[in-house]
Amino acid sequence: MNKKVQLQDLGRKDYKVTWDYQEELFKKIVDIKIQNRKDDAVLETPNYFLYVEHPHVYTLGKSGDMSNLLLSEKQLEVKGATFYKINRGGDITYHGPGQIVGYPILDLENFFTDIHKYLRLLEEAIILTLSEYGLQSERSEGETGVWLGVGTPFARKICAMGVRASRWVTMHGFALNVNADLGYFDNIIPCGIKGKAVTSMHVELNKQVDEEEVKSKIVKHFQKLFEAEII
Amino acid sequence: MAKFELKLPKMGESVAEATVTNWLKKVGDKIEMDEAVLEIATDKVDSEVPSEVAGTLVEILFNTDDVVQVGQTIAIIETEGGPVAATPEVKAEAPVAVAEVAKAVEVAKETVAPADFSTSDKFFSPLVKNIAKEEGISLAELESIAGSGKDGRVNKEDLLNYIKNRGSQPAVVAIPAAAPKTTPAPVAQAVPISVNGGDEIVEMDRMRKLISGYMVASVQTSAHVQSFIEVDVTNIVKWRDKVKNAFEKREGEKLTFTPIFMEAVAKALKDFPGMNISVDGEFIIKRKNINLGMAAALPNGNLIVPVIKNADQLNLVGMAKAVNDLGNRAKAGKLKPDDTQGGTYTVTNVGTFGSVFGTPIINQPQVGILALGAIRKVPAVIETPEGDFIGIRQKMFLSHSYDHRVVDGALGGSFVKRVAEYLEAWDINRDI
Repeated sequence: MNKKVQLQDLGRKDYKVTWDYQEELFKKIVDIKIQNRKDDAVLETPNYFLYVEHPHVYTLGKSGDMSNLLLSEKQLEVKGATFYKINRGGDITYHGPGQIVGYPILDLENFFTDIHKYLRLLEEAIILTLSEYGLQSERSEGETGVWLGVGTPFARKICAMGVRASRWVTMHGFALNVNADLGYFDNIIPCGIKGKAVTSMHVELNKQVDEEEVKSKIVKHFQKLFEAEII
Repeated sequence: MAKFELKLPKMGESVAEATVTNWLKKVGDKIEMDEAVLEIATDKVDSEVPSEVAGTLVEILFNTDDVVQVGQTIAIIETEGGPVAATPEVKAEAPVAVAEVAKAVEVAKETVAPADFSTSDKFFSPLVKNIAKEEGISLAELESIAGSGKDGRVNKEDLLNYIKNRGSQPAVVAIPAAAPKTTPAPVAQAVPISVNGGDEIVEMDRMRKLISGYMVASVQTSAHVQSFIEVDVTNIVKWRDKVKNAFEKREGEKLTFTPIFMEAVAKALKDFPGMNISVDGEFIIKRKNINLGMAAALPNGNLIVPVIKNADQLNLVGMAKAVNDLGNRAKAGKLKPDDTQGGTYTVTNVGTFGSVFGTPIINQPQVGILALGAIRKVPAVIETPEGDFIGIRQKMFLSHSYDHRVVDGALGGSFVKRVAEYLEAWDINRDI
């Protein structure tokens, strides 16, 4: 049970390049597991936690509906945004500057084999982080991610999640709006959930938030919740 | 040669089922050990099911978009060579959840089954009717089948073909709860607005923007018409004056007029189930439960509609508590998502502000909304065996808005009249 998690901050990086990199790490872990099964061996599998910030991009999960993107390709070009159909769960979402994107690529067999528990703990790490800034956030049943004002008509999403898992190895992850320009969300129906708004830490706190500080807080809580050792 | 049953693997304690999103292999394909055979999705996680053996895919048991329970066999793979150890045990976790789903399906089937085929204009042979009954085919479904028999009659083959194609889905249409087909918020008309020096420009808050969008969408969706009726509530006013102090002492809560009206509305909905429906495109969904929404104003001036579930099953004390609880929590901003969902009919109180009538906008996808006007003393003609007199009575108006696409004046009017009758027949000696 390797509980060591390699933390890598990739800085500002293109979506596709990061996706390829994720796939590479993902495959590396899966290959070890398959090999282990064939050889009846017990080679340790590594775990990774990637931080990245993407340029403006819209991504659509496999269960997603194209009609939730309200922009044509031309309009995308004008906005300087790109669009990808990808292999995670969930519907459409937006990534861009000012948003902290975290991709834990973990072999869950190193931690616990429960997909839902994995999602709930990721949410918990974000909720605990936000509470350090005085923001009270919560889960909304049936709507994975982290929300503010659940149950009021002011319900708004601050952190989106979408995950792919195979043989207990995870990829993709969460996107927390810190100082992101929320105007870009106007062009989509986030996660296909109609009538729900999005928000950011900046909007809620009415000030610019130090993203590096937020990142280190998330890692701190992640480490505790997953009983992981960040290296 | 041996047959290997590929089962939906366990994905965690609370994961009882997954949806098939994509078959990566088709029948006849060779499969390597550990090769992914199909993709599945649960919650926000996409995953794939790898084969634990090498062989040939010989049978696919679920189609794309089918929901599969953990531990269920999804495909059969024929292995070459010696016998394979029996399917590695997939522990059938979460049997409770599975059982619950099975139960729900059964209930759904039951509700569909009792169709009365004698009411149709079309002719169906006894054989066809029997098959339809056994398979839980509704009359509407049966009528929709194109028949190939004499005079376009539906024969046994037509029906069996239909059943085969329809699959085992019970004919229960689920529509997303409280999802008015959101037309984008009204686009500002190109009416030039001039702003003078002293004017203040304020952006709508989120909730106001949402309300604004819903209201316009509702008006654009439904053909709103209204019926009004005046009700003598003198007995109710007297009765409430008589019992309210004792009620408050005993229950620790106030007894308002609202639960009394809610009770009458729930009873009338039971009498006129045609009002307790929703519209989804060209389909009508007849609601089984009576879930009453009650529009409540929030302290910030915005509006929310919490829902009293199964309102027809509450007695007056229960109704009073439900109304107070939802009202208080709405004011405190403490409603849970579930509290505002699943409404099948809505009541709004315009009398609070002294209004006598209202023409409320329907809460989509419902088809009716009742506005309660202010109760006030008026001179009224009282009919007695000794002749007519003028007296002072407590009266109010009920304003009923309904969707003329699916509710005609006869139903819309009869419904509100029934509410009035229940209120006027109030037993002044009723216990609470």
